[in-house]
Amino acid sequence: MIYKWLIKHKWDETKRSPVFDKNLAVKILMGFFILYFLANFVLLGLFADKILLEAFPDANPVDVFNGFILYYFCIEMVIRFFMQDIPVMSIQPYFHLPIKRTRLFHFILARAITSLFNIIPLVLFIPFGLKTIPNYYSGGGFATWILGIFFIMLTSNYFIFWVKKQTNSRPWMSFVFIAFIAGLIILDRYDIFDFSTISMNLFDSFITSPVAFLVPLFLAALLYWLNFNYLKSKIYPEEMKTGQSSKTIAEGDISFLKRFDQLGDLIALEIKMLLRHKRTRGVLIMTPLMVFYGLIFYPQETYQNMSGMLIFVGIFISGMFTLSYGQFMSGWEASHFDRLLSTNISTYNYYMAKLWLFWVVSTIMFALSLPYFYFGWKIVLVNFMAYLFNLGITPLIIFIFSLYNYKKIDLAGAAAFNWQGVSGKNFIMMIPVLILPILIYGLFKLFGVQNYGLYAIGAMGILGVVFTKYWLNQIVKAFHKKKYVIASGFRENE
Amino acid sequence: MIQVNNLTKQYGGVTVVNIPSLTIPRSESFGLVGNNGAGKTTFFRMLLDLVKPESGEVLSDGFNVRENEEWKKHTGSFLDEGFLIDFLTPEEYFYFLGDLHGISKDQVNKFLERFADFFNDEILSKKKYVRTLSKGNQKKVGIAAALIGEPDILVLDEPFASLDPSSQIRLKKLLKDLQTEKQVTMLISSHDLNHVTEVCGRIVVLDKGDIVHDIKTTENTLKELESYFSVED
Repeated sequence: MIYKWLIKHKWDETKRSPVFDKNLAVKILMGFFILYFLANFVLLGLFADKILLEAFPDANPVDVFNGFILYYFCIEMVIRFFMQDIPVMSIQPYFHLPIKRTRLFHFILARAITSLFNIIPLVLFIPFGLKTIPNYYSGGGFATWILGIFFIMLTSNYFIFWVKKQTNSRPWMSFVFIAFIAGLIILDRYDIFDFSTISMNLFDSFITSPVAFLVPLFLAALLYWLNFNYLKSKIYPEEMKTGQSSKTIAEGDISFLKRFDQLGDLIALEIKMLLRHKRTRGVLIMTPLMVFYGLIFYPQETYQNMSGMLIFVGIFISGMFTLSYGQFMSGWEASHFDRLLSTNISTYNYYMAKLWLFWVVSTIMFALSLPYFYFGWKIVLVNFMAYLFNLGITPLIIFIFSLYNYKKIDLAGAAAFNWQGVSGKNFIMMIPVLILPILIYGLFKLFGVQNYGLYAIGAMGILGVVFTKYWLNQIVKAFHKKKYVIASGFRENE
Repeated sequence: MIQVNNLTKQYGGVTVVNIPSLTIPRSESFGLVGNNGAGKTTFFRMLLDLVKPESGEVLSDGFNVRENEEWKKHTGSFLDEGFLIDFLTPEEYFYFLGDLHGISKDQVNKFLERFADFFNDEILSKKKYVRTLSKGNQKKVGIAAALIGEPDILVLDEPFASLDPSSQIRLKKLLKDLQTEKQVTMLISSHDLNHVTEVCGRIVVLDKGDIVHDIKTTENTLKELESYFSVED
């Protein structure tokens, strides 16, 4: 009976989450994207046999497909490790009520099955199992294969939860996990361990043997039991959180910023905010990873000649921080926005502090992307022009949009898949930043002088930097008109 | 009703609760006062089995609260917003708690009637989620929720804080009525010496986890407490 309530509450919680508190058009658009996203997997599952037959005409597509599945689950485990969490704290409001705690633990563990990570394999593998396997294997092989996949998915689900709980109390365990995965990659790479054969044999066995799926079923049940016992032994909310009550903060030395008076203080405040919250740290971690974005495009000849694409990549590499941190401005400071407004802080400096942060991070990111000269100097040139644009124009666009963002960001929230405070506006803001340079480039290309287009993008950036003082003053003026609306938005609870 | 034996709790080497022995008999109204960090909330959390004690035990009706969950059926509590399911409307939250105690919706509605004044028309049928209510109104929801199921024991942390004066007066009346009509055992912590001496028959002062005063409330109690807490420079 209590489960009925818990399920209903979970449903209500999802339905009433501020993410869905949007107008109908946005809702339809979101629904469309989710459907599109899932449909991709369904189609991939449905047409995998055709694709595989084309690539490997002599092989049995089921075998080839099975050879890939273990890789899928390995990659998935890494992603799960970084992104999936089981929200143990969500049962906190039930702790003082007359409900058996063990039931709450069962609920929280069962609920984890509904995670997106457990939906993707289903929409990908079930269509394949239903359509292709019966063509090659008669009998109920396809059904036991689907069951086998399902239980492997659950094993991965509960294994990661268990690993994460271990790493919570023992951070060095995450290195063990990463080393383990890296070890697997190396073993596979040097053919010491042939994963694709193992994978093929494993998943073939689910088809040919009617009972093989019981092995992952047993593993999943075992891990469920381990997790359950873990929760039971740590039933106290304070222990489920990572011992934060006894943790003291590490004080970094940013005293050199003192030399810059108020501006330095504001930058220091900003840095502290960035470093001391999970959600902002998430943005920080994503930033250096953007350097690798180029690796997707640069090695391929086709993209080398598509300058539009290269500009796009360049903007992302040096501008990611400005974009991802700036898109929620000033929502990050919502919880103490009234303090900022009522204190003797000049608005000019308030914006200037952010601008300096954007400049410094963009410069670091551009410097990190320099080794790409390996793929040709043109890439460095494009990245440099995009970098200039990110110095002079991107912050201007971000600041303009910040005047229209009234949504508070909950700093204490999770780093990944956190849609709190996110609205369509946050993404619309990216459009001019990404489109404008390509538009300029396209315009010059129309007249056959595309190289000048590149220089024009950079020149715009330089102009933006030179006239910083002018446009920043305009932003300040607009801010003073809008600040009441912004502040009242930040005061609102969602 | 409640028996505390050798209860201690430390955070990072600092003792926050250290109660060798404390007995709270049935139908007593027990007031807990002390400055910030005195250990009031931590004590209540251990009483409700929300924090694991370093040593010692809390017995409710003779049973250790850590070993047996029976006490939850007749203990109503509200410490902070963490006790609220904030994505529900107040009604949904009340009905849910009613259901846990086997009380029908109609009975819950009837039960809520006595809170009409206290709620001041700001809680029910407002089509708002608990999370969007003001701090004071959230507190009202929590206090009313704690009383669903006619508990024998009521635990409230700072019930008067963030309530407006009229609500404070109404709450005091409500608590006193519960004492005389239902003989509810009450544990109430407060920073407001006026309110707590008015509502509670016994006052215990905590200081850095230790019980430093344990007095029956008389006309002089307020004066005694004020002189205890006034800091001489």
